[in-house]
Amino acid sequence: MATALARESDVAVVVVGDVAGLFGDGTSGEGCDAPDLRLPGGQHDLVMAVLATGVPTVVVVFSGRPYALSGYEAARGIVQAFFPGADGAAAVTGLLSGRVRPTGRLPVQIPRHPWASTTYLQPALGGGSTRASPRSTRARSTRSATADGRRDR
Amino acid sequence: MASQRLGIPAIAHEECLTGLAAYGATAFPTPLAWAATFDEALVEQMARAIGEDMRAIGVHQGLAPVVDVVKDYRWGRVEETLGEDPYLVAQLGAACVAASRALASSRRSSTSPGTRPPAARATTPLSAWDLASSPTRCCRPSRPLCGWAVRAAS
Repeated sequence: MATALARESDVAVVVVGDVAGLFGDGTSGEGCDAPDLRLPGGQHDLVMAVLATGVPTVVVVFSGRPYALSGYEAARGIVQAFFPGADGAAAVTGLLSGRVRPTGRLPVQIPRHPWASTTYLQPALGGGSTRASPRSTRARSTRSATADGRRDR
Repeated sequence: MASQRLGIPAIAHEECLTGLAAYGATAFPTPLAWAATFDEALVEQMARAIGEDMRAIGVHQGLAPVVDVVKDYRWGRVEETLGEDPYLVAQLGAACVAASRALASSRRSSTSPGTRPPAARATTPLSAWDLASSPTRCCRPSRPLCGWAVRAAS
């Protein structure tokens, strides 16, 4: 269905992300921890299917945490909108239409792998850290922490 | 007051992280989105608007902002945080408290008695380890600001 619509279109906008909730009643929020950083449900497959059509695609992520977004390199753009509030629809559509020229810096990194769930503040025995390289944040801490093989603490 | 047997005034608190959690109050973006602005003045302006909403219904204490530094993205409350950079968290958390302080000082000269100004409070504190970790030490101006964050959380 989504891929059929995409093929008929000049541009596809795929909107994915979280359901805000509490104590298991959503995919993000107090009591709604995630086992890993895959987009919830079948959303990753949806994005990949639309990208595979070859139609120019923009992915919009409304989420309460960063998700692993590797594999989406064919997208013309990825918008990380988090939860944008009551005026969020106007803000995001303005951005997609070109009315707004966006600026912003990610306050969290975008992981490459779903299992790379800890930040540079991970415990000493917390495992490896392989990240995607988001354009708007320099991976300053992670790089400096691991370049010499020591933990950053 | 009259109904309080020991004469201790009640402190009414409300959730107000993305806006006062009440019908008709404005819902602002989630803190991860504030953090992406890197704009203290804008965050302070928003916090002031939220504080005014709280004051309008007589709330004394707001349960925000959350100044935890993200260590694991799987946590359900990552959405409530200002991200993983202690310096940024401290700067924007301080902006929220500055807004509450400004409201509090204007309250003292206002006319309606019997209520207290809204006060910012962190729902969960930064751990000593977060504050002592290398990223914090590397951000020179962050020392006094993070010290502030600890006080706000206590």
